[in-house]
Amino acid sequence: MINLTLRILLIIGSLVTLLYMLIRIRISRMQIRDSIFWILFLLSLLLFSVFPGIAVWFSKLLQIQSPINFILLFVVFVIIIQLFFISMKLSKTDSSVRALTTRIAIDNHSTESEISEQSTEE
Amino acid sequence: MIKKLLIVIPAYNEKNNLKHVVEDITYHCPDYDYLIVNDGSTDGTIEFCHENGYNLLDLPINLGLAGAIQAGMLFAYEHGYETVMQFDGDGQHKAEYIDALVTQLEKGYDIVVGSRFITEKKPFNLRMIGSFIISFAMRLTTGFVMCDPTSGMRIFTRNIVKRFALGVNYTPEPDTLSYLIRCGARISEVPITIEERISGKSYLTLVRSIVYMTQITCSILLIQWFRRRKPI
Repeated sequence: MINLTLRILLIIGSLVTLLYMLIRIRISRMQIRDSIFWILFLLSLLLFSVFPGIAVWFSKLLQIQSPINFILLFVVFVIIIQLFFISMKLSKTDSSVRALTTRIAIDNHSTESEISEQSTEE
Repeated sequence: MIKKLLIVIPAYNEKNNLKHVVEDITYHCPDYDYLIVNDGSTDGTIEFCHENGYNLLDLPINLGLAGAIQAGMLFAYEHGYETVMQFDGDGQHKAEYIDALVTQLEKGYDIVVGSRFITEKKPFNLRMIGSFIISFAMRLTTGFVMCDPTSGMRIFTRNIVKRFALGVNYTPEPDTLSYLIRCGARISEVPITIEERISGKSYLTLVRSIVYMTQITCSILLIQWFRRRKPI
């Protein structure tokens, strides 16, 4: 069983973080697609703290001694997955920036040479 | 009286369908402008459009449907168009219904959606289950009954176009419609029929459909409560 102090701490912790993030999402113009993950993640933490039975059931199933270890495992796993997706997205953004920058540079070059050609013709 | 309408056609690798789409539009609605937004296609769409003299906005990288629509909306907004229609580049939408949507918009609506299921019943397949769930979520949160929330044939007035052009979270998806209804937008549906894709494959595979469904439903049911509402 998860002890009461820890449960209360988990509930308060996940509630405060959830509220904080919701406010941030509201004012920071975060994209909805990205905020869905955080809301679902914090809701699942809240679920674990309000209904510790879920964590107990899973820890028995996986033969993990203490339910809190299961929660730890769950959080670490989800964070690793999210980290992977962020890494993928960042990589894509990086190549997009490169593609755009080179595009702009090449376009500028061709307009500049067009202008200089026109001025030499004159 | 609506002065100017821009028909925005997002196209990603739709070279084989574009000819049909553009001819259909210029045949049925020669008075309206159209704009093909090439979303970083790799099949020679750009060359094809230049050869045929189509009005083209060329995105140098692939942004996805939301990015292509936003680009079209920004173009329309900056060029002073009064209304914008979103029209698929894959040949599914028929230009003969454009006027029906325009007429309905003139009755004082902010958004008019071409619906496949006003007169016809929804067929029972996986995609329609998705459509049903989204309809239900919208009805639950806004009280508005929408027969075909995922339809891609929509027309918007300028104040909505401005939001799409300059906002962050205005994707051309049902959750945005749901948000706009909550902001006070007046939405209406008119019946349309669509054609099967002429060529190429649909973007929505099974996995993507499920991810899409989850995102849209979460967005409608969860996130919309926390979005700051900007009244129309």
